[in-house]
Amino acid sequence: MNSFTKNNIKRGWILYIMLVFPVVWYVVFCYVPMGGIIVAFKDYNVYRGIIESPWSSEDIFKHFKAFLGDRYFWEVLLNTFIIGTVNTAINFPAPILLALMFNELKDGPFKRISQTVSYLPYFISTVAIVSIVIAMLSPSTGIVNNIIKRFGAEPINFIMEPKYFIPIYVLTNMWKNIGWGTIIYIASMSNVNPELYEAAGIEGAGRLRKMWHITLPAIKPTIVILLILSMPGILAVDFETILLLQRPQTYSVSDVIPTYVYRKGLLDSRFDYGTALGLFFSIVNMGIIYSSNKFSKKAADISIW
Amino acid sequence: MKNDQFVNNSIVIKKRNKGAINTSKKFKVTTDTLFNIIIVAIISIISVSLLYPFIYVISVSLSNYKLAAEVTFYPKGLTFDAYGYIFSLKNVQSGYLNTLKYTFTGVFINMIMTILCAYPLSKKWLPGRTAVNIFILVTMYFSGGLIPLYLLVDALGMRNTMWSLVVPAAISTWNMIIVRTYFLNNIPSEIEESCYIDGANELRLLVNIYLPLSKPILATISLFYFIGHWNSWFMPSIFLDDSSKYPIQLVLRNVMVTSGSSFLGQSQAAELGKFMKNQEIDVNSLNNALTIAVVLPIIFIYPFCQKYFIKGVMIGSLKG
Repeated sequence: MNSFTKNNIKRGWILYIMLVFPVVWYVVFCYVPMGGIIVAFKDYNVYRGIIESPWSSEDIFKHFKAFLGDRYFWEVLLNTFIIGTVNTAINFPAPILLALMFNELKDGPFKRISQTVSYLPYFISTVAIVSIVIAMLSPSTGIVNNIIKRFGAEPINFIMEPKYFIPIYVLTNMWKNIGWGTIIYIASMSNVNPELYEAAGIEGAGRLRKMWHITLPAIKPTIVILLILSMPGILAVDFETILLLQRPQTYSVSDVIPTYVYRKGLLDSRFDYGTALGLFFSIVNMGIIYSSNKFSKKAADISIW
Repeated sequence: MKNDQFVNNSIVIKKRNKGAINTSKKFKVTTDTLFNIIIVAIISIISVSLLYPFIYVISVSLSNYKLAAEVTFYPKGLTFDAYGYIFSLKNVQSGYLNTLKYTFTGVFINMIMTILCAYPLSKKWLPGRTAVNIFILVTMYFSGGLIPLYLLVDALGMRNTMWSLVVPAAISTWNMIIVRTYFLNNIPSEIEESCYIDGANELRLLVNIYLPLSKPILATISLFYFIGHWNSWFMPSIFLDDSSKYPIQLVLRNVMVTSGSSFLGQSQAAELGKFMKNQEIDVNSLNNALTIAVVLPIIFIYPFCQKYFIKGVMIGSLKG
């Protein structure tokens, strides 16, 4: 250690004291729970705690084998995958389209107000959002069924019917996130050199062609990075929204790994089994992030690491 | 505004028509106008549909429940009974007070911990900084998950207390990185050096230079934290046992899931039954009124805070 470093350590003593608090916090609330994962390999006993509980009898992977051999687990995994894929396929491009349209508006109150309105749902709590969705879909009083009834059809109990679950979930998500998602794209669009548009205009390009040939290529790197970042989203579904929207009647499509972990692990107090499930799930998730990053590095030379 | 624009454009077109300008140019001006009209129309439709659900629920909550099915835009059989009733309920009153308590305590702890973490890590010269950065970054990719956290909070004896909500959520690494980036990029190092030579220590530097110069970003992340606590319902639902400690979001969740029965309790439900016979509201009205009561404070502060939120996203994404 040279004298320069020593000097800096001396100079920074107050900083080290400050850092003690957050570092201890990270150890206790992030690293200790990571260690708590060993519960997945134990037979958890409430009275003995994590450390004292015995390792799983006969087989240390007992809990993993239990759910891997359970047909319901595979259904839940498939549900997670389907919901995540449909949601990403629709709600990933949606803000890009909206941002392209915002970008075509002239600056002024209309643009400002419509952008402000579009961000608003993002800040509303999931409970309130779902409560509003349920109110609108109510079979007796909801506006949607009101319209259906006006056309003379029978009202539909949307929340209780499995086939409507995914559309409701995707639309709810869209409502909540579409506006907020545009911010990052609008920012990268504002970096485009205006001379490019002028030059294209002189060449005779219309607005749509400018959009296609100038704006879109300009935001391509942003799109790719956000796409990689959203890949884990294929499995990391919006747990809170699903938990509030699902009913036992729709479990066949709406039950996903996080809600299953919550029900099995917390509500039924099967902590060891639930942790094993959660651990398996995050390993699969890590695999997806890793491989999508690797793919994009190869295909587009863009990487998040 | 938008109309002015169109009017101007069409005037231009008329003038040009008179002036016998070649047809291709005229065609371009009109398609451009048409394009603007289409974009404005689409954006208008989108904006209205994003806003409509709020308007609808506000209107239903202000309507006589017998006419609720007929509501499209404005209330039918205007009544404020639902609001009068929910604010007279003990759970709602205590829910609001709890939320305020958790939110302000939470944000206070958040800000202190975030600054304590971000400030030292913004000093490039600090030995060991990289190691701590990596130590923190790891937690963004790996976590123990829900159940180990639950067991930990339980083991620490925090369950069924406010601390279970504010302490495990003390730092959002994302917000910490935003502040650190701001400190790193926006505080001129000359000021820092000259203060240091003048004999100010690092704590004085933080209080007298860094914090005053970083007000906008501190406002931004305190708003992020504020919204996070205000909207939180899941953690309270697993950590709190006494319904007297529930925050308002959890009260709303329980009304929504159980259609009012569990939340009111038997005696209160009977009372509500009596109450509603003479009134113009039912359980749905209560649910809707409560939803709006929960949403309204956010809608109220939102227009004033919007620009701060966007600033936060920008700084956060620059780092990413």
